[in-house]
Amino acid sequence: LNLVQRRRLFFGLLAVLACWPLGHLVLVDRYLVNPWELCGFAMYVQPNTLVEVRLFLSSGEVLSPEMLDQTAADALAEYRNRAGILGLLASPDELAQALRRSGHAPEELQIELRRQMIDSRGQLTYRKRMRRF
Amino acid sequence: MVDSPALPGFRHPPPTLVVAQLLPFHAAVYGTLMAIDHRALGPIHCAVSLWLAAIAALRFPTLRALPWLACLFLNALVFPEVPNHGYVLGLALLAIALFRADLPDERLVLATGYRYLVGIVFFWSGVQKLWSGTWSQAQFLIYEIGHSARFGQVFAWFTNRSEQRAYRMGGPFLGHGLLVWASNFVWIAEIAIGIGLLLSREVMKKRFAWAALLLLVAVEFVARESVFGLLVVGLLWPTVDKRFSIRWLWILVPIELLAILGRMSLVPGGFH
Repeated sequence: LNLVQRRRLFFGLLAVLACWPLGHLVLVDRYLVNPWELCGFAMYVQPNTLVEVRLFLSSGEVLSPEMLDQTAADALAEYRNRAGILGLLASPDELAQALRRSGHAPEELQIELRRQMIDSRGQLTYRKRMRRF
Repeated sequence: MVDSPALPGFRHPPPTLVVAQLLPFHAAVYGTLMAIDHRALGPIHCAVSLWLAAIAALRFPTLRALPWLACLFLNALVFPEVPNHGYVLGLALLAIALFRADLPDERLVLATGYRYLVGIVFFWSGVQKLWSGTWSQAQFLIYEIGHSARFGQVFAWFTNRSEQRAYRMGGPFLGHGLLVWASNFVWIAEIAIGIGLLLSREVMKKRFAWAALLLLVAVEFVARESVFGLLVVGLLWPTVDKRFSIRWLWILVPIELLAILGRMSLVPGGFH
């Protein structure tokens, strides 16, 4: 590559980086992605706290952590860690498999994430997002 | 390209050349911190590779793409747990791989690219604070005073004891006086500096770079993030174009060591 091509390549990547935070704003809002993560430069805008995960079965029943065996509880903890960064973009496949192995057999799994945030009035609120898998 | 020893014939070498040779070592420190965090074989191998790649690139400039490749591999391995400065560092190393810092023309492109990179980071960091609405009444600062030792140590004297007690509980997290002023100053300055670094003319570029460095020092006084801090200093140094003897760069060694010790929880108050 000559200098012009290399320059185009690098400044093209910078242009992508300059536009990416717009997409990041959408991911944070729609999928509850952690604002601190994924190169959106939104560190220090919200508390960097863990997400809360609630599981719903197709019947609408809440699957509480106490109902899970060790394997499923570990899978839930692992999912919670990944969802702490990726929000609802984190794949629940391993969690669903662990639930199936432990006899809960969800045909349809609904996951609700809750992330603690500060609103503009200075109140702590929970932003919730739910997704069906 | 003819392999050449480090910084030949320069009493005070061009900053871009020094940065191109030292940034891979900073990346190696970053890799070490990630290895400490993850405590897994993959990141440990990547950290070792980053150190070896930094030494190889310093000795043989034709191998200057190696640190970028090692950093790319590390980031891919630990994704999505890549800190924001990990992406910026990756791009900065890519620039070193693409452009030869020993050629004046390419050095200029490298310096411009680095200035734009910092401009994007500052601009968006300010816009995100504005967009979130949690900096207009110092809401975020107030929350952190109640929940973070780092913020508490610096900002607690702006507040009285009963307020601090309320901030440790459920809020409301609304600031007053100097805190609100400081909170708004931060995002306004970040956006202004970001635009200045991206768009300003020759004379003003250097002033905006100095302004960015001053704001960075103020922010890092609270945040204590040496990996990000040193990275931004390195990226802006070519724009500032301040030349001095490379012996002064030994000051980086204790700072990098402090970052590693901080990650091992051996520095009181935290440092990373």
